[in-house]
Amino acid sequence: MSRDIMAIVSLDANTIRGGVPVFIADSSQQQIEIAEELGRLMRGDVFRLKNGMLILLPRAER
Amino acid sequence: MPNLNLLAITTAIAIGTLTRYLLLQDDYRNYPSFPNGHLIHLTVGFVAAALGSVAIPALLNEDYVAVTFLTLAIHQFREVRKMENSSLMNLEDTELIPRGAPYVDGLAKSFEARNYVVLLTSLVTSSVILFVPTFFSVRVGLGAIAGLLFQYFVAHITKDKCVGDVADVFTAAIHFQDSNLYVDNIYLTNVGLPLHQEHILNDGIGIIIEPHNLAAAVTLMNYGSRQAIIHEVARILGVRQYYESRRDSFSHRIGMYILVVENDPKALVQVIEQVPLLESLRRKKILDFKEEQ
Repeated sequence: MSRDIMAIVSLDANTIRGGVPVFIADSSQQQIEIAEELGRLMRGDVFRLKNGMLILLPRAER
Repeated sequence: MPNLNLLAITTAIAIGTLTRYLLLQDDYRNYPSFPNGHLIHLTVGFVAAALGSVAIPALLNEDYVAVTFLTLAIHQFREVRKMENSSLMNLEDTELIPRGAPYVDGLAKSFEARNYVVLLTSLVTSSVILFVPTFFSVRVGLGAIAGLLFQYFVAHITKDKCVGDVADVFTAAIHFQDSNLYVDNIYLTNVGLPLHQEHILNDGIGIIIEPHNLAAAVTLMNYGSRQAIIHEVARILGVRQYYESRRDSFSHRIGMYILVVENDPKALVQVIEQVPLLESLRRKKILDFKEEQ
C-alpha cells in the first residue's frame, strides 16, 4: 500500500523542489498550526522528519 | 404404554434445542444479538434437533429414504453459515473498526458447526433411548444425560483458544524519541504534532503481546489476528482516534498503543486476552514439531 505525500509544511523554502504542494511557515509555531489545520481539512496524518519538515500523508486505512 | 419412537424423538428434540440454547450463551462480545439473533439461531437449532432425532427411528422402521433428510440438514446449515457471513460482511462498512474477513469467516463457521453439534446430540440422545433396554423413564433419563455429556464434550473440544492462552499480554510505557513513538522498545509510528503527542502520552495505553512460542508468533503476526484484537477493544471499551500496532520482527512481540474511551488498562488487557484465535489463522503442528526437535 502506498501513501502519496499530500503536502509539506517547511520553514525553509530553498530545500523544496516541487512535485508536492508546499507551505512555507515563518516560525515553528506557525508550521505546527498549518500542519494541524491541513491534517484536519485533508484527513491526513502529520509526520515530522528529522530535518524539521512536516509532511502530510493520507490517514492510514485501519 | 407410550410409543418408544415418539418418546425418543421428543426427548431428543428437547435436549438438542437445549444444547443450542447452551451454546448460544451471551458472551462479552454480545453476538448474536438479542432477541432476534437468538430467536433465529434457536429456531434453526430446533430444526437441526428434529432432523437428528428422527434419523435412528426412521432407520429402525426401514425407512431408509428418510435418512437422506440429513443431506438436507447439511445444506441448510451451510446456508446458516452463508447467511452469517454475508450479514456480518454487510456490517463491516459501518463498523468503526471492521472485524476483518478472517474473523467473520471464523464466526460464520462456528455457527454452522454448532448446528452439527445439535444434530449429533439429538442423534446420541435418541439412540440411547432406543437401544438401552430398561424402563421408559430410565431410558429417557439416560438419553438426556448421554446427550448433555456429548454436548459438553464436543463443545469443550471445539472451543476456541484465546490470545491469552498463547501469549502474555501486559501494559508497557509509551515514550517518544523526537517524533517517533515507541512502546517499550518497539517503534510504532511517527507523530508530528506536539498536541497529538501530548494526547497520546496523557491518555494512551501501551500494550505488549508476547507470544509463548513460534506457532503463536506466526498466528499473531497475521494482520487478521491484530484486526480482531483492535475490533474487540473498540467494541467493548471504545476507541478514540488513535491506535497503531506493529510487530518486532526479531522478538516476535507485538507492540500496540491505543486511546480507549474507557481508560482502564486492566480491562484492556483482559479484553485482549479473551479475543479468540482465529481458526483459519491458527498455526500449530509443524512449528510445534520443530520446536520439540
